[in-house]
Amino acid sequence: MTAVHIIGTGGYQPGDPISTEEIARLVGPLPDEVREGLSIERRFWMIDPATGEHRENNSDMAYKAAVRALDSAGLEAGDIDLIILATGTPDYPLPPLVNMVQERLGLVRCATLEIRSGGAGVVQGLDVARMYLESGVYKTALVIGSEAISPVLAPIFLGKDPYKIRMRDRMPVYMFGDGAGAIVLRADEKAESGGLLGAAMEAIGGDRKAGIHSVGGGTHAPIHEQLKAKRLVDLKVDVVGAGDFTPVMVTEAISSTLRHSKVDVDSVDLCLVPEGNVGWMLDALQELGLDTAEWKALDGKVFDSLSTMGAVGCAAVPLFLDDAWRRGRIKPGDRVMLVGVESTKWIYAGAVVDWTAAAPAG
Amino acid sequence: MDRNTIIEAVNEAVIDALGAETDEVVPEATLLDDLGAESIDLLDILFRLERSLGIKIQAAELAAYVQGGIPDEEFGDENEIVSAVGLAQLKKVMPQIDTDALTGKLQATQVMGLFTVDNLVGLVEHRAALAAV
Repeated sequence: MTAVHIIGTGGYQPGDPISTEEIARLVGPLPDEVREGLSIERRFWMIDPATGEHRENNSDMAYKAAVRALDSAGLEAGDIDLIILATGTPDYPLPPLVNMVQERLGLVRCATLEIRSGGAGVVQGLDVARMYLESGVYKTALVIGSEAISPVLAPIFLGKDPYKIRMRDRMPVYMFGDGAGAIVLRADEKAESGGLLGAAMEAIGGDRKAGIHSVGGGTHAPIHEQLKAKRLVDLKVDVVGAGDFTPVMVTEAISSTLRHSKVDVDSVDLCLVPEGNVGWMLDALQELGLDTAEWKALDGKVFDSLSTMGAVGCAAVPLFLDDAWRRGRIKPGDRVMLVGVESTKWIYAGAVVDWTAAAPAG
Repeated sequence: MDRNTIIEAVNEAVIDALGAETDEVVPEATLLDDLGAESIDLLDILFRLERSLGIKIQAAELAAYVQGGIPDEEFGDENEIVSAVGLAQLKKVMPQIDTDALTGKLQATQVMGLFTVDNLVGLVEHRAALAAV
């Protein structure tokens, strides 16, 4: 039986951290309880907050995270035969971002695939890669999640009086940031155990309006009509709707992932949920009666890096995973559950991995 | 605090929080139905009033003020239609409503849809008077 192991990870965030105080100067304040509920103290942007100029772009970040992941795995780019990349904010509608990363890595040929499922994308990508690797089609895969949200935030505040900015527009500026994370997977025909055990995914918003809607630059309306809009791309976040339904998605993701991976919740040592320790999420879980036996069994095991890295969409799972691994929170022998959720059209994906890789020195 | 100061602050808060045009924000305009406010915008309006007038009103207090401390089971019947007792309370804080026309028809969930810019001025006046005591 071929096992598919995670043998390295890498993460990258651009520039210096941006404090919440600086965001308040740009877009005006939030009520204390709202700001504290978001639980984000810093974020990183690829734009210069003062001018909106791009200091780098999504493909740069994805490439840098990929290089760090390959370094940690002790591999060269040439060892990769499959790249899967998840993003919602590519450099261009086409060509796919994954092929720009392929080019930057110096790979003339390799299999590539791009996924657009937001925060669930990387976990879906891990499962797709697992199937290809287990079946022997490919041997080494790179799964990347990267996100560049700050370019869409800039028009909200550039040249504006911060106090005239609406709270619904302020909140995304406090929440979102940029970054990329990458995970290297390798098929091991001789391994008896370890690695990716199984995964689950489902989109459960077929009867529900979008929690986040990024409008503009697509083909939903004539371009000459779109050009009349105040902002070319408008990020509409239904904060209340997302707050109500995200906990439902998270608890369902956990339960479904356990079932599909055929593991018992008590055997899970750590569980990555990008919003897992956020004040509004924990409050909502209790209010909605969703603090299930499984959620309680994971008490103290749920981890994320949201407060120090910001909300980074597709990058959240691989970036927070990399952060935990390099800090020594995840060690060989740990059983780790990875949960990615996406509040645009309510997509979840979860995977369980028996961790085998020792963290890189230093 | 005089009524004109409050009216001016409420108008400014509503205009900025909703991105509304000045001529839309008239005393009789309802915040939710006419001006399209959602719950996050109500939070925004209250936060702006806290900063301009120094009067902090929690979002939850808005509904409590409208209901006037009447318990849910007295305020509405088993189908959540607002009772005569409930309507009498609503008339106090929203004097513009036609209680005869609403008798037996008004669902509890529709109550906030009747709340106008002028009613918000009334709430702020009420809170300012309490603070002054």
